Amino acid sequence: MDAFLPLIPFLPLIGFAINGLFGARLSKTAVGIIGSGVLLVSFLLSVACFNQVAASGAIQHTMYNFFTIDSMRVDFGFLVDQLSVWMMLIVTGVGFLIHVYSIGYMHDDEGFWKFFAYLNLFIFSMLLLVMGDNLLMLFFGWEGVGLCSYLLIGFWYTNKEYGKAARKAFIMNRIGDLGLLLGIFLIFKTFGSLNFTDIFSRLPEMRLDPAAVTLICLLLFVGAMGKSAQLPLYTWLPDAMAGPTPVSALIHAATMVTAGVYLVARCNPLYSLSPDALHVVAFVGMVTSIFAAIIGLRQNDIKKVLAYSTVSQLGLMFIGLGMGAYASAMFHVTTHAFFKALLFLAAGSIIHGMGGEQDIRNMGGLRKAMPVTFWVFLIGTFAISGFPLLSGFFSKDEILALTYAHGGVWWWGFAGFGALLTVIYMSRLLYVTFFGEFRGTEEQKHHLHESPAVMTVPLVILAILSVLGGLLNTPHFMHLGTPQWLASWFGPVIPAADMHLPESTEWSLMTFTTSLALVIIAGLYFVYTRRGNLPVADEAQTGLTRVVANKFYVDEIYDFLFVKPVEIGSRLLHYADTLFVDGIVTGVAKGVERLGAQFRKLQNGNIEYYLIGMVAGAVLLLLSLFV
Amino acid sequence: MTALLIIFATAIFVLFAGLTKNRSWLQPLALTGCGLALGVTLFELLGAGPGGWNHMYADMFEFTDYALAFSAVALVSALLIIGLSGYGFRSLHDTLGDNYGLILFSLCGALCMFSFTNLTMLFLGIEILSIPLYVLAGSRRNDLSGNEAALKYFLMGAFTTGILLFGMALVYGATASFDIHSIASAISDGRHSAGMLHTGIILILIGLGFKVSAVPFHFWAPDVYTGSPNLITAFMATVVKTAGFAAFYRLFSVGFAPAIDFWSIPVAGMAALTMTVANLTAIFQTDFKRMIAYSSISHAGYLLLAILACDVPGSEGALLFYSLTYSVATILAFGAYMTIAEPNDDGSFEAFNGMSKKQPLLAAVLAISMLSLAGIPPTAGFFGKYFLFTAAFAKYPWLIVLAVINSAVSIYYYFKIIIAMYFTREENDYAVVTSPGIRWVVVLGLLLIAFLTIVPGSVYALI
Amino acid sequence: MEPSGYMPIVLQSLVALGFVALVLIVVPLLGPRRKSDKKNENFECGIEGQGNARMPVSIKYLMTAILFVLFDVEVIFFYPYAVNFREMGFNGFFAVLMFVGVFLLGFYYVLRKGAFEWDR
Repeated sequence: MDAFLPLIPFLPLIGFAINGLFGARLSKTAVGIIGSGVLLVSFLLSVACFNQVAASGAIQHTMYNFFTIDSMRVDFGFLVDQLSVWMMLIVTGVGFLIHVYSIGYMHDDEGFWKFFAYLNLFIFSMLLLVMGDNLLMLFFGWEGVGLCSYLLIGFWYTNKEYGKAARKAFIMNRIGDLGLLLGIFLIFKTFGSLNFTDIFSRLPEMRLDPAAVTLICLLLFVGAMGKSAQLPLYTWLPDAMAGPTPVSALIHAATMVTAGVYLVARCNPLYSLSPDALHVVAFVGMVTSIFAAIIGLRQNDIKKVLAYSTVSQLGLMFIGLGMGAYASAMFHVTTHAFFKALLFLAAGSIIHGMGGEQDIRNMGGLRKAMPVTFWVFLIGTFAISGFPLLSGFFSKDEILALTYAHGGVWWWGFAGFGALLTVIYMSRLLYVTFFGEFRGTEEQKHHLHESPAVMTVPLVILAILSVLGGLLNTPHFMHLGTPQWLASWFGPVIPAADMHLPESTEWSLMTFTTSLALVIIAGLYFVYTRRGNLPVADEAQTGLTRVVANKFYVDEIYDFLFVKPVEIGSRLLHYADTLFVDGIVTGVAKGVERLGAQFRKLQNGNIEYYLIGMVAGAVLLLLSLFV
Repeated sequence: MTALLIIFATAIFVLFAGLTKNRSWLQPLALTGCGLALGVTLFELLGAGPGGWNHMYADMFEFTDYALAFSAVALVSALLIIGLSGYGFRSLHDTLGDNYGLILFSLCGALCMFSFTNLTMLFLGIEILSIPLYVLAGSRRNDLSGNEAALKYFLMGAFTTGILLFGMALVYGATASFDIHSIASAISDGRHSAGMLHTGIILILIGLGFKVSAVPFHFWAPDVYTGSPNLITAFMATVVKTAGFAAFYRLFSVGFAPAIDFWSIPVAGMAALTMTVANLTAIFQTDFKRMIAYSSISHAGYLLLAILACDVPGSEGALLFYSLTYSVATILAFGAYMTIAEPNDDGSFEAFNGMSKKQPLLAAVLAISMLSLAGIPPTAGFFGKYFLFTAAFAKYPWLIVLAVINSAVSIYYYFKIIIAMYFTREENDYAVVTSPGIRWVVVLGLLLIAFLTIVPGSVYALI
Repeated sequence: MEPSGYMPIVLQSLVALGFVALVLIVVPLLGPRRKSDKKNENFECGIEGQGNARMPVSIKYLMTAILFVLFDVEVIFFYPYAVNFREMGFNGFFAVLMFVGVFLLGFYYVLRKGAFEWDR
């Protein structure tokens, strides 16, 4: 197996090379087959890896020595243990499905071959990220995925806004990377090595300054915040929806954005030494989770809703990490990869069928025209909402239960609030899109069609996974399948979280949140379909007078009790977002610009000034004689 | 030394060959000379050793692995630049031989600067390097901005030469020697007068700071880089910078090493200032060459970190690796830039609009070199920065934080080019005129970058 | 060398400076002073001065001048050799031969480049 290990990341690289160099001359079919074929092989190899890891433990494979500085040896090497092989399966498996889907989705795009080349390059970088046996390899992949994300967000560059979104994503990510890089430097200084195995094996015998560990953890977490779109570095993710929908599914939902979670889970021995850092992680996750969910309530762009939902779900994962429930967070990463990829791809199918329309106000009643898409979207929505026995139910509940066990009732309450908001906006999305009557133009109505099989088959597979994914890690008290299978699988890498709740408490927590979620799902069904109410906001546009009229039918009580306060809160947060978060970012940029303009004046072309400047500098340097 | 002799002989030969009617073999001649010199240098570096040259010439030279490795870097840069010259010099006729000759003479100066053991040799090397450049900067005789560049460069260069020489005199006065090893032992023995020595070191610092364009002695660089012919700018940004830093490092890590506590303060200040000022100013540039000028200044800021960390093992390798990746990326960028800017007489960023469609290869090369200059993995530039920053991190964490922030800022302006080439809707009707020579150079350069990316350790471990 | 060893040099310099100063001071005092327009002119004899001295000069003059200086300075290197040529033996001879060779090459180059052609 060892000999084949490098093939897993390098096959996608080869696919990138072939498609990138000759793609323009190949037929679309050939490009698609090469692009997804390499991934299928990678996936099968990953499965083989999985079997080997299951049989004989972690595999460490060194390809060659990258470089040696003094006593520090950095290898181009892979560490395939229980954690990374799991990520490899997700990346290659979900990645393969999305590749296949893209064959249909991107079929009419002139940059078809470029798209597949970029996607393959992304998979390569992502695999380096999860497979690398040292922090430098991880950083390598980390930046590589950032770069691919940049290329893919700006893929439809004819729209100038998209290019801006791409750059915003890249720069936001770089702010995070700054922290990560500094964290890596600090780790090197502290441990004298970058190799995960070395670092974690030296950890017990080293008497470390707790402040230093906390600093390292926080710096790494800054990196994770950037990549996983946590407050305040999250604004790039909703903008990143400018990219083609498969990209949103693959990069901005299923894989890349979970890299931050992976990083923290990978470094869990470090984080476990620093309760302060874990608190910060949990707090940031909590705030992000609620904040993003509230914003999601008012979005009308189908992809934007899903984007905010992703940010919110990532927040939930960080809450889990912050509670020390690393395995649960990874579990949620897995189920989230299934159902969020599913939701995005289904959204892509809708957009495809609607001829590029993304505004849910112009949809409605798609249930009949797109039955497959409807059913899978329904499954996805139920899965993310925590409908009993679907995948999201188990993973979300596990995080919530652990939050209750470790953080107490308040943490649990807030985390649960975020989760319920998710239920609200997701069911709203479902009902508005698929129920009621069609609200688009005649032309759109005519165009409306179910997507081809190449798109729906991956959707169905993902739907099945979304249904069954939860069985990977069922709670002990339910006696369903192998309880806590995933947690015990991660056991060698991630110590099991301490769940010290009585079964009855767990049962009641679960029942409480689940029944609330069910009530909301059912209630909203009546709100949005039975009464014909539409969530159209005050900024309703012309041509939608019918919609505007319907606004007055919105259920009064619902409005008074829930929508209004939330709307106000949402609007406030939206302002806070534009004023505060964006304000700081742009403010910094403006400040930098002003400063630069001052420096620019120095260079005025007059040699006299230059000489004076030099002499002044010389005098300044000579002053150091007296220091 | 063999390389130096070969280059010198080639230079004279080319100079005379330039007098004949048939000038088509000047470039192959220069290339052969450089290639031969590179081959000999690599042979000496990897196996044979420098031979008996070490102690000739009254111990003026010392051909350590350090000197040989840096010679190889300079020769690689020169090879690539001369490879581009078929294009860059295509409008020159009468003075073609002179141009090649001057480039090669300048290269001789650089080679002296890698191997000196004596301050006089350092001074001679700097002058041999600089004087041909003053001429080359103004080699387009009818071009006003070229003349301005040459005059500015000359005046300011002469100004700092005086300062440098005075510094050397003071150091001699303080330690009674020009030999860097004797200077070091005189300093560590305490046989020196501190005031005179420190003043001398500061003055030398100013002189070398000018050569490597460190703030506040950088004022010449943007104007001179912009005004000079493209090829010469590429030469200045790469070979001259490499030579300047290699000499800087050698002098300060050998000769002035015992006084590191004194000079590290001003050097650290210079490094911080250089990175920040250059990056902030670069954001505003709209002209490619000016942007590259500021970028080259900012890289000087990063490279100063190697000098600060000169007592850390591995800093030499970091300097070497960084110089090589920086040089190759810069030359590639110039190669791609010339093809669009020269035929259309427009060096602004807008000139690159839609280049990815016109010339996919050149656009990709330019994009990769920009990524490498910005230090983004997986390009080789990342390792350069990584090596430098790790070397200096233990001693100057605050400076590294600043450097990392600055390299994040630099993405902003490097990406402007990439955005123009790939993500811009408005396109121009500019023609892109290439030549086989350019294509060869970019492919070779790309291979080199790929090699440096895949096995960074190989170059790093050379010295 | 001890600083006191420089004393003779210092003395000699003082005497030299003193003599110059003495002459400069004493001579004007000794002679009578008669001023007239004629005497204040630039030239006492020859053709009368015309126009401004700052006029553009053909580059050819400068070229010749600078080449003269160049080769003149190089000739100075012969003096140390002339003093030591016996001690330096054949090694020295070949070194100087090489020097002259390079020097002649330069001269040939300048010639071929047409630096001395006045009518071009």
